[in-house]
Amino acid sequence: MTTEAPMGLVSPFNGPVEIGLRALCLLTTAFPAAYALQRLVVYDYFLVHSDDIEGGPEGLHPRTPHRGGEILVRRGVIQEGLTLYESRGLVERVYEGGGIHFAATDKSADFLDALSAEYIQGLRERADWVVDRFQSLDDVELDLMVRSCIGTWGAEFSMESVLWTEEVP
Amino acid sequence: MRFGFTLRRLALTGPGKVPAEVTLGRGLNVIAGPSDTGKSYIVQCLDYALGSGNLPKEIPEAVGYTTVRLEIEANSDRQVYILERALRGGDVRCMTGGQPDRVLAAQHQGGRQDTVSQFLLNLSGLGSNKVRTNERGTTRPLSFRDIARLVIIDEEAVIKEDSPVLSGQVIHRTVESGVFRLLLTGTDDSSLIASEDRKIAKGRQAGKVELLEGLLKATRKRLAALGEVSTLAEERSRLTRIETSLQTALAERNTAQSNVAPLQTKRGTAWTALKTVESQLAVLSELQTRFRLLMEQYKSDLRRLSAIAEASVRLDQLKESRCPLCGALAEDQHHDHPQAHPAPADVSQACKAEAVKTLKLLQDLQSTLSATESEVVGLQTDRDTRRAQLDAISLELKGLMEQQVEVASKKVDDLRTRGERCRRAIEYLNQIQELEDLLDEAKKPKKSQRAEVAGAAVSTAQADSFSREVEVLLKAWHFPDLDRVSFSEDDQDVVISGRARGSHGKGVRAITRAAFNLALLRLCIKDERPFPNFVLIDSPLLVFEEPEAGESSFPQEIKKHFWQSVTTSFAEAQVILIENSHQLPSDLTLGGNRVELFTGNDVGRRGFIPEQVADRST
Repeated sequence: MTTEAPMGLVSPFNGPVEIGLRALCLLTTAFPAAYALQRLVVYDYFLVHSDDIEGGPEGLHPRTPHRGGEILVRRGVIQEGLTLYESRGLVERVYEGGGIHFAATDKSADFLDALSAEYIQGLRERADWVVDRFQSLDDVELDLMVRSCIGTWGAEFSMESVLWTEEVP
Repeated sequence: MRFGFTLRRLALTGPGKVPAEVTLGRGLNVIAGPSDTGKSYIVQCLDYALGSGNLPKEIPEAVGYTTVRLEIEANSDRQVYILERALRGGDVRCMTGGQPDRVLAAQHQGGRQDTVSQFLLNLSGLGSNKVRTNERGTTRPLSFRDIARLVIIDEEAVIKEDSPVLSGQVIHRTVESGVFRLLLTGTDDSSLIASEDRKIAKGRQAGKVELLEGLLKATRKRLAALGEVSTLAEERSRLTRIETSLQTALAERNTAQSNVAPLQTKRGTAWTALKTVESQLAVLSELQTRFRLLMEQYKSDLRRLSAIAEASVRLDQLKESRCPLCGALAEDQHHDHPQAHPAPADVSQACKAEAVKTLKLLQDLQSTLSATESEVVGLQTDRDTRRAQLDAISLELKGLMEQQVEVASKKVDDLRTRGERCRRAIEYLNQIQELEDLLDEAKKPKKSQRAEVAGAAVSTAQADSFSREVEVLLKAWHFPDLDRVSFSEDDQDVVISGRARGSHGKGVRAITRAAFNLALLRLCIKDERPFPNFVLIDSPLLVFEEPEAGESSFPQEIKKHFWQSVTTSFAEAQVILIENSHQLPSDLTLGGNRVELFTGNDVGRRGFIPEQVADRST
């Protein structure tokens, strides 16, 4: 985050609209597959920090210190986002495998196509890559992998963090 | 009288033999008789009892006698001692009333108290004296035998041509003169420090030479090791030249160093300047990296904002089918949730506002970044310049060092080494000179240092009072043509009226010998000198008994005066005279002095050895 939201005016960054949008990209690519919330959390990270994965495309967000922590705090907001888009009929709750999974709807693709921002394009390309790259891993494997790498993401700044302190959102 | 002792009784004993005795006392004692009555034997026995090395000559009458006993009385305390000695030889037994018997060795040995010699010397007051034995000043302790010669004069000694002081053996001359001097003056040679034996001195010299030669050799070797070396004078002047050059070289080096110094400072400054720029650069570069990252962040933010805004708008256009909060279908919605999050419409507004801010920030950052960038470029140029400057100075410095300072330093070192070598050479040359001088000195034959040690012979001056005494006696005896008596240092004898005593005939020699020894006795008593204080003379009046040709006119009246003199002059001391009975004064009384008369026949006492009783118990 680059600015602190003053009272009354909430920061649009990492809010339900943005987060939900990112989740929508992922789900749209994966359509008709449905994902658990945790997978969406992890995929969301890979989406914007694709350069932390070997062989991944250029990252969308800057490589800030301690960014690995984003995974830990995103869960709540992702839920909100999903609910928001669900209310507009773009995301669907699916009850399967003993848990709540989420999937895109047939309206999702049209919605995304209608957006012209360049950023969206980048999102959709990376979403393709993420789904493709990680769909072979099951939930448990994915969890393990993240656990092992999470410390290294953003650790390169550990010494010079004195010069630049970032508030992890 | 403090010194000396008196002979009281001489006895000859043997198992089954009647003792042969003769009694003596203070003052004059005369033993007179014809020859072969044992007079000389008495003298020998007396001397033997007093530690003489010579055994009494065996006479037929003495066969069977084994022991000599001599009774003496000390003058200082009148203590009586008996000295007993076996005739065949051996030590002397000394017996004193009230004390255990002592055995005294016959032979004198310095340091030993238990010799008869030391015993008698102690009685005479001469116990701790030393005499010198040679010209070099080697000394030995005095022995009684040295004194005996001057107090016991037998019939052979009385007519000797040699000085009464000397035995005639040249090697003993020094000792004998020393003894005489001791008796005359009381000074002995205890304080003499012997000069070195010639042989030892020679050996020392040889050793010295050897040592010096060895040292010389070693020093020469060390000198040769230095390489080519010339004479001392040349080396000295060479050293002076080197020192001068050294001074110059040092000055040069110092100049070179002082030239270098400001350049070194300059380089130091340049280096510091370079480092400053480099560190500034480093900081700015780091900052740039940060700024670029921030730039990325801003750009990313802007893109995101635009996407979010668009998505919001689109979302807004869609109809809500489910509750955004709880997801309830539209038909099931009869609740009121507080708007937990902004409606999409609000979000797009927020995005727009945010974008504006971010854009502003981005722009600010842009300018900051470009300012930084140009600053960095400037610093880089600066750095390059300074580096170039530093390199230039370093190069110049290096050149200067190599050329001037190092060259000059090397020259200084070089000169120092040469100077050192020169100094060493001079040192060695000096040493060699010294050693050579010492060697020459050591090789010189040494003159024997006779002059240093005071003469051993008694001088005329030392014997002056003695000469007076002799003169007095001779005068009393009415010695013919008597003028002065002096002492000859060379002869160690008196010179009577300009004529050496020893040059006279034997008769005159005998009487003058008597004068000599009696004068010595008188002098010692008069001056209270340590002396045995008795004198025994055998046949002093030989001149009348057996005159030589030229002595027949020796005046007879001298005899009268002689006896007169000796009878009265020696009350305290002891004088024992042995003479032929003819020579005694006609009245034979001799003023109450003791006279032992041997007759040689059955009338009176035959001789020393008594007639043996016919039956002897063996």
